[in-house]
Amino acid sequence: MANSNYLSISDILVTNEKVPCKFLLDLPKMGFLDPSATENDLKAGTNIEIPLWLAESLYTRRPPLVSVDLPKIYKETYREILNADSCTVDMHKLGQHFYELGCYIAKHDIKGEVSSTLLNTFRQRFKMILSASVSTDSINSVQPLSMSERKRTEAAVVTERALSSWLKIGDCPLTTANMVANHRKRKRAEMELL
Amino acid sequence: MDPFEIEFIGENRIVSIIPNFSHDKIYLICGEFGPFRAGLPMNVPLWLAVMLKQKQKCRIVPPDWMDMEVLENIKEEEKRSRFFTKMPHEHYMVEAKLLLGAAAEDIPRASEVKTIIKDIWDIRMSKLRTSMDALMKSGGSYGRLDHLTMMEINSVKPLLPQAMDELHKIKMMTRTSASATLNNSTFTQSGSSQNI
Amino acid sequence: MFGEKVIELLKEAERNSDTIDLYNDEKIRQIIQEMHILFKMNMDDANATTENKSLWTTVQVRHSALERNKRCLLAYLYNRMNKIKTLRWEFGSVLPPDVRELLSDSEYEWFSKYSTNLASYMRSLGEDIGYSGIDLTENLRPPKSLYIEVLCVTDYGKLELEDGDVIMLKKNSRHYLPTEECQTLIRQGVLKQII
Repeated sequence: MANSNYLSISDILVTNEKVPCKFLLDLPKMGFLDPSATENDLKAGTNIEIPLWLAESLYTRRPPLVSVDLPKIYKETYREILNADSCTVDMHKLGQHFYELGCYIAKHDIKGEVSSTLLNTFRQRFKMILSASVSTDSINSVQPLSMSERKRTEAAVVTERALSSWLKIGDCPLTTANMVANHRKRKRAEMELL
Repeated sequence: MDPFEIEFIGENRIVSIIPNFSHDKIYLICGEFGPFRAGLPMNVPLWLAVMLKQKQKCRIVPPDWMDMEVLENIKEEEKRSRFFTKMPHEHYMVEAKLLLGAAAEDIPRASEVKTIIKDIWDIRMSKLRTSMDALMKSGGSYGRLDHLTMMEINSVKPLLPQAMDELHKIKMMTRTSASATLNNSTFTQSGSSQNI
Repeated sequence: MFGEKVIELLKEAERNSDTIDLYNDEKIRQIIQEMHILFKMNMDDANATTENKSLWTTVQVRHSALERNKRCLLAYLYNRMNKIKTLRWEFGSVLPPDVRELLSDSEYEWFSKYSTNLASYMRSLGEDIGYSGIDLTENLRPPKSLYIEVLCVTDYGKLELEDGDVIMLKKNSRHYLPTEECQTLIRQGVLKQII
């Protein structure tokens, strides 16, 4: 699974998201993690939001230093909205890395309801993406998507366009290489700014 | 894959032509063809047939399946059945496009043939999309689609496998959470949480 | 301190996923300096743990931050490495100077070594049957015809064909040339195919 790769940038960005945690032990000199703390030390029992990578690694130490809570968007209220009709949700605002973060979070969810919400949401929105990728005009009416959904939709649109242009014209046109074209575009944009 | 690559693969199919020139056997990488005798039908690869036709050195014999009756039957079958019908052969769309493009005058009722093939194509594509959606809803792990041609499979290429991958990933990740609560240890099976 | 700078670096790289950016030497140096500071603080605290047991947790946190920084730096370099590999296939073995200055020195060295590797591999193909190798960077799409019509987009200058003819490529001039000769120039954006 290429996404949970050590060197994958998207995985790094996902694990940068903040999650609420409760510290189980004292942490001297780590007061700066809590923006509202007044002292230098962090006492056991404080609830603060720390990035996921920190939370995960502290969680897996023996004994664990934190206990992870569910972020807001995976809690009851949002889960009900998503289970009802996930196609109308603005995924871009809710969580750019909704699915990936949900995978990490689901490990800390005792009841196991997050996983079923994730699956349901994914399935419902897949249908939406599928129909959007086929007809070019509905692509704009689709609700904003999460990062992974957007990448998938773009890929699907590209394939669709290649297929329909193949059906229309016969020839196989040679084109400028991708990176070259983008490089030229950027240079032109920079020159215009100067 | 690009549609062009699939077209390249499909061009290797053998079709029959009637050359209007004479020539000895030619030895190509894909096989030997010939000798060419003017007026006598013979078999060559599709790409060679199209090239000769463009140079006006031959006449193309329409393949058996490019006949209105056969195509009408296929279309009825396609409309009726929930599954995909067996197409005349794997690259029907490539052959249709190239032949109808280069040699429309050699094929009887070419424009009607073109319309009906396009109809069959549209029916199959929409069936493909509904079955993709059903596949995801039903669990997204196993589906069976017979008689799909390469070009049609290629049209779902990045979308379907990637979506199924993500679905599978979500299922895997969340399954380990259930087993983790059973044991007391919180070390999870999937190595992906250890990003160190 | 705890991975903010390094995330900025990655976000920069991610923003332009189609092209390569300038090698951000400055930021990398700052991040490595931060890692040194963190390491030093950890060493001091680890030695002090014998007296104050609770400092152990702090050491854990700083260690995680160090590993995070390391991971992000490696991902940045790895990502650039892949883009440089694509550069060889798209720009050819000689980089235009404005692309050349986006790479750091060691990256350019890597690029030349990769180029040499690729060239010796291509040369070795078909050696046993007497061929002098195939250029894999050509014909990335199935070629359709022997000759194609092209439009020249920029002033390129003289182009010498295989049979010895020399053509002048001026902006907006049209030519009817063999496909193999044009392929590299089309990929580099000098010529454009007319359908």
